[in-house]
Amino acid sequence: MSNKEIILSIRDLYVNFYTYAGVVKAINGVNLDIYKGEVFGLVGETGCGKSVTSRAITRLIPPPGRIEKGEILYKRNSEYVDLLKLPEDEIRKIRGDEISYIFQDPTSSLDPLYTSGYQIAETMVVHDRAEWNEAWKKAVELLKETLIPDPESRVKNYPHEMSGGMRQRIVISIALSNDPKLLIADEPTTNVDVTVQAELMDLLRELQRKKGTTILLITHHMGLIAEMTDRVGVMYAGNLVEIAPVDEIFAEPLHPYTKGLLAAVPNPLQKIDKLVPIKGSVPNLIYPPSGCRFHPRCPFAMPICKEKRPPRIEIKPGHYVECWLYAEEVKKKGES
Amino acid sequence: MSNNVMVEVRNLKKYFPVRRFLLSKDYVKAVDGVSFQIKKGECLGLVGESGSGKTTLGRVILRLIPPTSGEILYKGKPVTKMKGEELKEFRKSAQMVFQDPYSSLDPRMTVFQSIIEGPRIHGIDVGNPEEFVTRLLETVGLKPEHLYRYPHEFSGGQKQRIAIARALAMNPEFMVLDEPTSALDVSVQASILNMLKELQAKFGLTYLFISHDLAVVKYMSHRIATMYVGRIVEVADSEELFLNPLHPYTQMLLASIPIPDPKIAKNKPKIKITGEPPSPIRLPQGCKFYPRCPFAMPICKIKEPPLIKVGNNHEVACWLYE
Amino acid sequence: MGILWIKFSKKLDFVTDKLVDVYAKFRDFFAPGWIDKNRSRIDELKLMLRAFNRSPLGVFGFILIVFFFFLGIFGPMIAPEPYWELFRYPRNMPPGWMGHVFGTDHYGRDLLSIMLWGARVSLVIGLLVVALGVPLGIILGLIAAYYGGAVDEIIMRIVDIFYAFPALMLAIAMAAVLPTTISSFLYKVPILEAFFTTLFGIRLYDSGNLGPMLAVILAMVIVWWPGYTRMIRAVALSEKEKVYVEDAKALGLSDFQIMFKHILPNLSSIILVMVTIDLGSIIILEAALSFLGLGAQPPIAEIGRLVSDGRQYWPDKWWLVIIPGTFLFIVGLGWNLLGDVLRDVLDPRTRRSIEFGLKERPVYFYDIIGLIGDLLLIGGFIYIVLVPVDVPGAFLMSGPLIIAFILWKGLDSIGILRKFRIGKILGVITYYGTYLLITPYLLPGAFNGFLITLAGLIIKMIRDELETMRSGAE
Repeated sequence: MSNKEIILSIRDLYVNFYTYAGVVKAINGVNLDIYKGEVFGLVGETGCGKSVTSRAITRLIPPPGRIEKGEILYKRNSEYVDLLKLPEDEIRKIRGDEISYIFQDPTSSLDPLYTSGYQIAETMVVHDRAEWNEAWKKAVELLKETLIPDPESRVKNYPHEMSGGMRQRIVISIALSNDPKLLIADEPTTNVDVTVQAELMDLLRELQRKKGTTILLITHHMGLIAEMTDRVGVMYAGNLVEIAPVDEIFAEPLHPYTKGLLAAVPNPLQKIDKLVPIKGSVPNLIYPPSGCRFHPRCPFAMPICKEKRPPRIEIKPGHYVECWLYAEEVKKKGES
Repeated sequence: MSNNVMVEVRNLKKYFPVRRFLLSKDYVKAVDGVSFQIKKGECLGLVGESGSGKTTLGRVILRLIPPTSGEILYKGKPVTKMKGEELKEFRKSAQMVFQDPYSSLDPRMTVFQSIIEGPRIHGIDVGNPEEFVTRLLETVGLKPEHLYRYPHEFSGGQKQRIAIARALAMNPEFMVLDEPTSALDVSVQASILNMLKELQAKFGLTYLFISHDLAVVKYMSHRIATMYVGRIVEVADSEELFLNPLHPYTQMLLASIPIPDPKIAKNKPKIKITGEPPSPIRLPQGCKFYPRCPFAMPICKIKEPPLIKVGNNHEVACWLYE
Repeated sequence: MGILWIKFSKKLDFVTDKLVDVYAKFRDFFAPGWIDKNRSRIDELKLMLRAFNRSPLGVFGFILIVFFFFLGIFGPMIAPEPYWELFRYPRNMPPGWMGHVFGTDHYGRDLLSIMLWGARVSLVIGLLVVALGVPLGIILGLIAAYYGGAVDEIIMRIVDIFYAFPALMLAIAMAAVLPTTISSFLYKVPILEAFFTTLFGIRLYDSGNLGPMLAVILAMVIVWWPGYTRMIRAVALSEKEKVYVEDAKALGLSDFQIMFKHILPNLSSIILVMVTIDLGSIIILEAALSFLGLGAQPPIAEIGRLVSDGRQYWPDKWWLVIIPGTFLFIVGLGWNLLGDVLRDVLDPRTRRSIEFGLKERPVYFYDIIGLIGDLLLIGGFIYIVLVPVDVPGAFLMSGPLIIAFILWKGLDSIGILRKFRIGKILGVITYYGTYLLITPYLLPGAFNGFLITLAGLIIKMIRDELETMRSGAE
């Protein structure tokens, strides 16, 4: 792993949302490295903070939310800069250029007043990558790359003249228009049908292979994680509880939450008599549980889980888990 | 055989008019000539993509919207001709659970008011209403202290439980479940699905389970029907459908489900998936799937294939199997 | 300033929480167990009031309105002198004359007393217009939205016809025709006569004035209901699409039950906001009508009439106009401020943003812009009221005005304008442009008045845009 180059490193990130009801501790000390050229999957349920984390990277957190502390180191021109300390106009240059986003809803991420070609070309012109003429030609090429039939006439179409899958392809084209180093795809296929989802995922995989873009894929769908990613981070209630290569996450999940999550997903290829749900419900992050945030729902909870936050433990190279269960093991190993 | 059938649908059609220019009208053929049976105590899964007409079908069967033509028999009686007492009886015995738990409960009503509303309207004697509702809440896994809370105080999963309790309050025999878990997280989804299964076993309910998620449908259903732009293209027992999908569309659907297992997922055979469903206004002639079909033949373009029996409980609408 | 208000609003929170508790105990006393069953609702109410407390403008508006209600209800009881004793003192004396705080009016009465009597009349007229117009709007709007199709078409076309008439013209015509009919009817029903005289706080002896007063009310209801119908239909249409309505249908509820048991309660907060904002305009319109000589005649105390009587002495005896004018201004402003803040508090989306924003900025930039807009808007209306009106001129100008107005409404209703957001601006420019082109020749002084209102409107539109941008960002 060490021979790989880290492109983005999130260190000790804390994000709070100041609401009237109280302070929502949405992100609670997240540490994460993303290597160049990989597809990193961030998986978790609604409200676990996976979207907030991705938006914190380029400081896109809306007003009531505030990044409390942490560092986000991004490798820019062979040296690391802290994105959280960069001036606003510098970070604006990075957004949509070096780091670009694909958001969940293709309908609302396109402006209905402009043609698809205009919107793709605009991204290039804004970031001084091309003049209008050239950018327009490049837009056609991009559409060709995203396998849109008849790209010459499609660039002149408005978003409402296209289907949902087509629109999401346009969004992908916009995101790819400046050859980003890091592409953040936040639930890119939640609103489209399975067949379209499969097509879009094939497309992303293909483009990623061809251009070597690093992708941060955020999803709640274990199936997509299995098909798309190289490494996976599992988030629960603002904590990144487990990070591992994708095969290991599915073959030997360590954190009780990861285990629960996998048991709750119906696998269409197997005959399942009974799914195993995770008991309880997601905690209110205004009053998060003490110690390990998962302990009220954890079948293996111990007294210490209530009191102290578990440390991050590296079980195998590249496989990290935040859980007291494995801390004991580490201790024992150390003693013997 | 016939008393065993709970719901029978014969050549059901539902067209929505779309106004074009001044006088000419086009139709969105949401449901176009659908026939099937649901046996007592069975769960029939209805799977299809958005725009396949599966939701419309569920609503037409419950008479929430009138069909354009065709027949729906509920326990042998035609639903479309029901009036007065008979209709009231039907409204009691057939219930629906909707997809979006966030808007299917009236935000101004407490849980108690929401659940007791149905029995009150139908004058069902429930004894002590508080006790009755508390009992129902316990059946769906909620606590008695939730009785006087408002919907916005609950999580999505809990709201869906309330919606199910609301349907159960009428003591139904048949329930249409319209994507009941698609708005929920996986860990919650599992518990709702398990609960629905338990309720079915406990009360002998009959389900029509509508979903776009094949894995969920497989988990829930005894039989599965696949829909494509308003038509049923394949019906089979659920194991059979997964082991031996016949219709090219079903095959494509199965191939596109992401499998939560990286070993299989990265090596699974690729079926090239192309195109998107056609606009429901301008449908192709003949088989509606032929523009996307890898096995299209000349006849597919001209004539629409009927639903034919190909094996034990397995029907498919495709010229390949003629 | 911000910090100070936060401190103060914390104290207010304490008061409102206590008030809610007292209310809950009161309900619990009559229906034991009420508190247990409604715990969530009580908490919700407290939270809502706390959000309200965070807005100084809202609290200010609320205080103004409470003051107005106090005057309206108790005015006739605390008024030191009766309104019917004319020429008791010299006419038009300045404030402070012989211990009369506001001086005397055109008929030689104590102006303070007249204002107190007049407050009751204003309040009752405002509330009656709302009480009659809103139910009509609710019923028709709900029916139109729920059934759709031909029913909807018919109701909405009737609404359009009424909408296309300039409000003031229609009200003038109605108020001129109706009084005799109403008077003769009331004459036959003494109980009603007694009821209304008590309601308005006037002597039974003056019951002849009930005709013109009720005529003005009816005229305003006729002017006002189409607006309500439209508004209710629009919100009911979106509410109807919610799944719980379909769910209610699946349970076997009748259309009537669905409409009034499920849809209507969910519209209540929107209706409340609408009524609040409208009450201010109704009271000012009523003053404008009585300013034109319609409605109650002397000696009935009437704020608009005070302004028109005092106008002939402007600007030498400025107080005759300024004092009642200020009263109208304050009432209109109070309702407007209250309505704006209620809209923010009752709409869950914006309320969340109020709750979120609390930590740092209790007064938003757009709040101040909105206040300036409100001041200009109402100031402009009152300025128009202050200048002499040329009635034939008003008739002449109505032609082009109607055409421009219908054109705008037409484009607006098919959604062309709204789609591009400039619709509102275009509409206002057409509307006021026509006024500005025609009125200077016919309505002396109207030019400035309209310019002021126009400025107010544009500023309020900017405020709305800012607000949507803010809440959209979240």
